[in-house]
Amino acid sequence: MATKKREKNPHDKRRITKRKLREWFYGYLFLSPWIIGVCIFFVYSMVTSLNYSVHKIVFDGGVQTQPLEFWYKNYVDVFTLETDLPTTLGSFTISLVLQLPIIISFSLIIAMLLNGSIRCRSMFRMIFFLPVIIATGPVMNMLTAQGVATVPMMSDGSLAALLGGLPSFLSEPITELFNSLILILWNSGIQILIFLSGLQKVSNTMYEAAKIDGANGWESFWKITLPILKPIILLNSVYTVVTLATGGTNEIIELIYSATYLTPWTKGYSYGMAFSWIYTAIIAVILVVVFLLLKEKSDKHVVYEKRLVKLH
Amino acid sequence: MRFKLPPKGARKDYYKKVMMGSNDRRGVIMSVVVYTLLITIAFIYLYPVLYMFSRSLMGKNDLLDVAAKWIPSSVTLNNYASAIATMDYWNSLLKNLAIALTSTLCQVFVCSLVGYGFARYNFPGKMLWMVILILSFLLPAQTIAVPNFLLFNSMNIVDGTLKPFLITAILGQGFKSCLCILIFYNFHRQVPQSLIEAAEIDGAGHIKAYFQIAVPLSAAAIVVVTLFSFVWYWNEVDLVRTYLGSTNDRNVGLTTLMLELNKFEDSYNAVYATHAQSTTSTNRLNDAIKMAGTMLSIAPMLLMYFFLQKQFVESVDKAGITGE
Amino acid sequence: MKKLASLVLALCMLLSLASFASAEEYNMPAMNTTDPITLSIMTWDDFEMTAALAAEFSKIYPNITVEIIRTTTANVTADLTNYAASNSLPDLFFFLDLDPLMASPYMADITEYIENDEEAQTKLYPTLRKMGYIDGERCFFMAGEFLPATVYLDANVFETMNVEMPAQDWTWEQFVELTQSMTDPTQNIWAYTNGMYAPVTFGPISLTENAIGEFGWNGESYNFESGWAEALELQQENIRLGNTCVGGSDAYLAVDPANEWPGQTGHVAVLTDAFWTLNNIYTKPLALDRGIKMVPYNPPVGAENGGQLAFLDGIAVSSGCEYPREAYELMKYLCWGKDGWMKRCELFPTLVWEGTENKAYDVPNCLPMIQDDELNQAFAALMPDLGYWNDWVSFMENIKNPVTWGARTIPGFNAFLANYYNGADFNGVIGIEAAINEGAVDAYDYTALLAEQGRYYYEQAMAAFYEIYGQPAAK
Repeated sequence: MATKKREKNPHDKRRITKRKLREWFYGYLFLSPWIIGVCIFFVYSMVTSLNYSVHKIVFDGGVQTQPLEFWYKNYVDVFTLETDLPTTLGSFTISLVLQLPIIISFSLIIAMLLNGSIRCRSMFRMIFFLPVIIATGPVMNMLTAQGVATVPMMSDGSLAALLGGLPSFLSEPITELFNSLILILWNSGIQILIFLSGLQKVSNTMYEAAKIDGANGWESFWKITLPILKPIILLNSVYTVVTLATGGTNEIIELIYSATYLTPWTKGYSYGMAFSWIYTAIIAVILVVVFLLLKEKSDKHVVYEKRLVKLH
Repeated sequence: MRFKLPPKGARKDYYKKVMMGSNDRRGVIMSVVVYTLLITIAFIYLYPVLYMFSRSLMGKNDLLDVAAKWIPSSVTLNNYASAIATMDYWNSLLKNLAIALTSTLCQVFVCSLVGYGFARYNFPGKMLWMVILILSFLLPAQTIAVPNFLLFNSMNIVDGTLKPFLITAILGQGFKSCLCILIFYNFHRQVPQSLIEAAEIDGAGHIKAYFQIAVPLSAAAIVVVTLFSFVWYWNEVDLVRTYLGSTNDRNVGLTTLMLELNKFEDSYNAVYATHAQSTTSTNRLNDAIKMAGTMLSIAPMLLMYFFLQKQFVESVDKAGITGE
Repeated sequence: MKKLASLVLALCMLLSLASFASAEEYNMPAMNTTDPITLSIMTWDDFEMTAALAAEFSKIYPNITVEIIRTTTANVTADLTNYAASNSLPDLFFFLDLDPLMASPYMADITEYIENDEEAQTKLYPTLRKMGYIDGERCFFMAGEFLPATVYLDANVFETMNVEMPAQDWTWEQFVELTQSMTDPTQNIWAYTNGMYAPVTFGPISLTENAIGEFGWNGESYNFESGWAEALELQQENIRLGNTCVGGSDAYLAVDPANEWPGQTGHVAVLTDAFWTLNNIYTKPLALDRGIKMVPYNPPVGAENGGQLAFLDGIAVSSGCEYPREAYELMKYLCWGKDGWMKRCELFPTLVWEGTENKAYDVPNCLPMIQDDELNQAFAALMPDLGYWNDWVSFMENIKNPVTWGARTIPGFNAFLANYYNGADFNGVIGIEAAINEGAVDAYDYTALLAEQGRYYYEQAMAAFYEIYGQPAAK
């Protein structure tokens, strides 16, 4: 990002050329609507909420900010008052580590199956769009309340009966796994579609070329499909982490909610703001880890491009 | 099997090929696995919808009878008629379409531009904007709920019209715009720079290169973002309530079907839900109307998908033509 | 003569003074305005009835238009925060949690109105009249909707066991005795099951004199010592001895393999549940076809003026309301006043869901909050005749002191629950009830500490409350 000219070497990458300037201009031109929007609707609100978090807030004919004993008091308080946070955060991280690979690989497999040659493909695609419609809307809550968002076997106890013969140390985890698998299924709709659209990038000619080279399905998956999908995997992982971390059923979000609204004496609104900023920072760290694990090395990208060019 | 059986000596090999598959064909075992998997999962997804559908067709007697669970003894469309009346369906549908279609169009177009800008160009501050983009994606909504509410209040745009929807969508701040931008970013980044640069050298300007090369190449992304945006605009309740104002009246201002559907909510079940299983649910007659209303509310999304999903297949060919 | 005259005059004055003092005088302030005004009310429930009653109200006061702001239980607290932040609180609003309303000046002081309202002073149930007096001096909110926490006794089970059913004014002792004696495994009968709440919730309220809040709160202190510990002990003893039917337990599964909710299978003598279960289940074919005969009772009382657990939603006039007097009148009409309720009784059977022929209310969804024979009878007439039981008038007469969950009425209650009752470490277990269940601690060892901590959070909340709302004016 350094834009200063430090040496007069004409091959110096930092040198500002006309071409570069034009690139900057067009970059900002394409981004301009969003930059305006994000400044008005997000950056402003974000700064306001940061400001709230370092004050005491009273809603008296508007928002009244009063100074705290010291400005970062709320942040210190979060660490002392949220005694549950380490365990909740720990169990969330564990479930994230478990769920993320399952969701990603599951939705990738389903997307590939839906993309492949199967009978009744349109019908299957239609059905696999249902979780996108249902799980992202109020319908899901209604179905959960009605007890039908799960498999009938679960609700009427016949799964329990089926597993009844097993000792409890076996049957319990199985039921649990089954339960969470269904939740994972419902949470995978968006990811499946993103993968499906990503798979459209992989043209058949590439597979055919690979086949001629003697590669079997397994090999062409690893050598062609996966490298092309890698950025999409990263995208889907980011999406999955963010939805799991900020969804309404997340326990920490519930903690933040009750701190913000329900216990104003011990915690209160500005404390809740500080709490959610700390939580955001933690999720950001998790995202950075995910990013580092999944990011494509730049040279690989070049190789991939070259391969594309070669193939055509 | 289309083929004649091969001679005896090669039969073992042949069976192995049929069962396990080869490079060209999927083996029988694999097929069984694939279809079992697909059908099982499809069943899980379909179950609640079928349940809703069957309940929505039931008459009073079936609904109040514990034994009749799945197949209605007589099919009635009364629940649908009631739901249509209660939700003022056709009026609400039109208004909802107005919101969802215009917002989706703006959102797709703007997010595509922004995604392309991020993917194609290098410019100072890019990292910073990227971080802000991700941050706006992951910050819990309640963190900025009050400032946003104040902002909307002071801008005086909440009046039951399209204004808040369009302004936010055009400025890239629609529902889950961040994800849309990221999807486009990913797609545009995968287009070899050389292709676009070549076009630019050929004399096409930057804007022209975007429309002529980047847009067609990202057809799949456009389709998927359109689908998502439509569904999100269709499904969202809380934000729509904020955008339309909580005293908004469907006879005067805009409305959405989900908002109308939400009015069926039985609040006591929500507050003190302990054994809110279907057998003990509050007013089961009204529940059936609610089911009918739900079916009617998700139907437009299914139709939308039905028409758009063909584009998936076609977009492959398109991508081929434009010469990847 | 002059002397006599002055004496007579003085006597007259004295007498008239005395009569002033004895007959209470209610001087309701006059309405603020006759100009056309709009009052807004935010609610999450009962839209059909609210709209219909609001229309009736506008007929009485043609200059007042009522605007209904819809919210949901999930959004109400956040919505209130948004409105307060933008200085646009609705004139009247329902709420779920009291604490956030005390931390900022949301509520208007309505003491003047309630104390000069004869109907409120003479007819409201005493606990409801006192409910909104946060500091004992000033009233800031009232009850907006009332449903008793109902106890159901299964007439069939009593017949099988050959036990006479208690009278409607039953006591806590009778309840205890029934839950301890009505179990008969040979006939697959359990004495008791928890529905929506357990003895630990309604027990302390019943067992405390003049209770006005959960855990036997009386406005000053909680009653952990006798109320809470005793009820919790009973609850756990009954579970340990198998008197309490636990859905999903091996014993229950052996009787009902389908594991239906025990409240609807006819195996339980006493069930503590919600009023609306009557409408949802016991008046529906599900229960009627099985011949289940559940008789509703009010929660039993175990102390003088003991409380009865109830579902009560709070409603307040907002501090920013320009016409608090009019808003009070609207609140009264919509929530508890006799005029409004007589109208409500007229409307209950007629309201339908918009666009349908389905009745909005099969059975009235809430109960009157005042003691008035005429109203009680009009209301009782609307309640369903169960065939085996129809004594709604005496059911209504035995509503004495409704008291609701702590978070609605007790300052600092949420924080006490979150930080101590459910959040603190008790001998290695988080949460006192869990710790007692696991045998880590004994309930009686902690009663003093619990009371002290409860008081601590109350005082914290009150200190902050005085900072925001000021001290009450000295009388």
